[in-house]
Amino acid sequence: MQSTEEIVAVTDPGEANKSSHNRADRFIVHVSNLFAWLFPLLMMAIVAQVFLRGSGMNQAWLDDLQWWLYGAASLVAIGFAVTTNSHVRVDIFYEHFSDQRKNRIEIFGLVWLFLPFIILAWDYTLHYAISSVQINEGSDSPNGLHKLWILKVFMNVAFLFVGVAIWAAYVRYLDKLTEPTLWRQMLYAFPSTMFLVNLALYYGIWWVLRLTSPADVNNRQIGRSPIFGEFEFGQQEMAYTVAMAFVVTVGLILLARFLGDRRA
Amino acid sequence: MAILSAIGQFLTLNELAVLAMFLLFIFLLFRGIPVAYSLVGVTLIFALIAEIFLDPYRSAFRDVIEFDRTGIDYQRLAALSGRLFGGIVKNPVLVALPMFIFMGLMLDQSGVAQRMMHSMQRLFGGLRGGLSLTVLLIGIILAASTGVIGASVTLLGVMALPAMMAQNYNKPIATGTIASAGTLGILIPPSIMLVIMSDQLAISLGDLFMGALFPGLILGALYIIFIVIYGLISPSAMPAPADSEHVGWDAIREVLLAVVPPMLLILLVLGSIFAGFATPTEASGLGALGATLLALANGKLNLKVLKEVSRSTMNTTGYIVGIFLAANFFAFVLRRYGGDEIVENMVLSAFEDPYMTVMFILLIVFLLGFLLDWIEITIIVMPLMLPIIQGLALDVNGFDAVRDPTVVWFAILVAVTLQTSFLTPPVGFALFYLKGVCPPGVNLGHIYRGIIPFVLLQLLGLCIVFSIPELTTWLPAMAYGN
Repeated sequence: MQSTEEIVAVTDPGEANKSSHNRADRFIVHVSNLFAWLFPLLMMAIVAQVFLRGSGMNQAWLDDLQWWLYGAASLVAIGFAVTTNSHVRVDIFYEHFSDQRKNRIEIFGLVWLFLPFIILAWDYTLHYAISSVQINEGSDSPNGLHKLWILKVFMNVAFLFVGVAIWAAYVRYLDKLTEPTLWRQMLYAFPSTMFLVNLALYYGIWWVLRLTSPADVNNRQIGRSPIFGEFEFGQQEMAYTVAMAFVVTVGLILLARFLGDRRA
Repeated sequence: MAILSAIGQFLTLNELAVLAMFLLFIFLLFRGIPVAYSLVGVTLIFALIAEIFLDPYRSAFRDVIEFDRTGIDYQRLAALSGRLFGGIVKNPVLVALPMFIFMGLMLDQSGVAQRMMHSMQRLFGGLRGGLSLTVLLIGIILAASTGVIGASVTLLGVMALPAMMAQNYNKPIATGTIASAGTLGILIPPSIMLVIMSDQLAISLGDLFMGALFPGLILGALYIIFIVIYGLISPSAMPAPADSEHVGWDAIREVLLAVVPPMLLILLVLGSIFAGFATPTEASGLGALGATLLALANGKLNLKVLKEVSRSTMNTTGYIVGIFLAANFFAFVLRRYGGDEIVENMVLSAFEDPYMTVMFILLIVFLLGFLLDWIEITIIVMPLMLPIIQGLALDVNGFDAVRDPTVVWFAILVAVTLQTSFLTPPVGFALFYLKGVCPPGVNLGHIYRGIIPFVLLQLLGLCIVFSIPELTTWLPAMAYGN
């Protein structure tokens, strides 16, 4: 039996299972621990606003600051919960599975389901953040916190952070099943790897075209270059870049395997 | 094609896809994949199916099965970033979420629960059934601290169960009391669940807090009445200790000293909303500060505690916001499939009578409560139910002051239903949390037997709230009417 004190005592979530953490896991934990201080800060901001308004000195920017702090902290928190493995699950059957099966389930959930979405969200929020920066987006309220674009850029970076947290946790689980060499990491996370390669190809080609095109060619015209076109098979249309991404991903995995073997 | 054609007699392809989406989600959940991961995974898979298969080939199966184009493609889903920013980051209501979590964790640290237990045990301990009453009162007062049922059931179980066993309490009644007192926390404000409900159902958090107060107190009162009557009928179930000492004034003083501070904290949170001094979101910050001060006053606050409470808040916020993130994407793609209307038509076609429809939804929620925690249910299911409830011709008196009185009433009904669900054998969550901290000799059978009267009381409470909706709308109307 545990005592009341033991049950009640909060534990530091980042310190549980510390020994199994790799360096990237520790990085996530350290950054998250830093951001955890935003909660006491948020508390102070709220209390300050209540009293300032009570004494007739309403500070509109404090209203904005509240959801800035909350928003920033909670985005980072998603990554933290990945590392501490606290995302809610139904464990009726799970708790009876063997450790190996649990590891496989973790890997599948992390890099076949969650990571592709995080990459998707990262890609979307990148454009969202860029357009916010371009118009120097401010607050809804005239006395609010301006430079809203900072928060939108932060959202984009936060998805990168969550992505790193997922990859770190994935490698940690993979390590329990097999030796996590680079090619295995890439192969067992195939959907995520291919998605990343696809994005890298797309933006790579786009920038090559941008830099090699004359200045009077605008961005929209570059986006319509034949390389970004689609070919048809059956009723389907498939972008050339996606097809290339598939080939390149398979090639990269084979290359990593070959080079890894040579080095070993 | 032949299969599709056969299915096409009953369902449209959209309905089939939505059904498959939910089934795949449930399948992944039972594999033990976290809710957030399963939900985004299913959504991604069905977004891909729509984009590369269903939409391009729609002319091919036009004749065999009905299909509305989803129009999902990479460009169009880009609206997701705006949805995520507006739904998760720029969301002043949800600011209350980490603050109430912080407040609850801090309150657990402050030692007020143990203090209340000690002092009340001394005051009521000599009485027959005194320990049961103590547990119930602590459950009601500390409901504020914990929206996470696991935490409060565990805490009450660890504190009270050994004492109850030592006094030879009947095992079923002891465990039943603890489990039910521990779950009151999700209903009695300020509860985290109500914060999320208010966000998902687009109703005022203040209305919800005020609306939940009477139903929560009614349930608490029902429990207390039951314990008193049970003690009178069957004295041997809750015996008084043999060596009961004389209870003097100092025992009463001690109880007051233990009970008043947490009461003041609740008063601070609810009172500041009631008086219009602070918005419900701001009340959460005041509550967090109040709990910190309580911990300080009890000498329990130090840098380590503050650090760990903040980090635990981060962790809890993380897994709740993770589901927000996933559900946002899920709802987006589901709507493209026409899933909202499909669910709406399905629920509406079940019964003619609007009150029967509400009961039907509550039944669904009750059954879901066996599988899922309130976090998933409120975030994933509630938004689907909102248009249905708004469309029903229900006559809920809002005293001309409460906006959307029907939705407020419905939200409270769902809260009571979920609480009942968590208590109902064989799979109620609270029962398993309690089992986890039971001393040897107490088994699941005792817990099951003990909880039955409380489940019946819950159902009685549910009926009361169902038949007298004014219980949920009168107080908010008083608070905000003037």
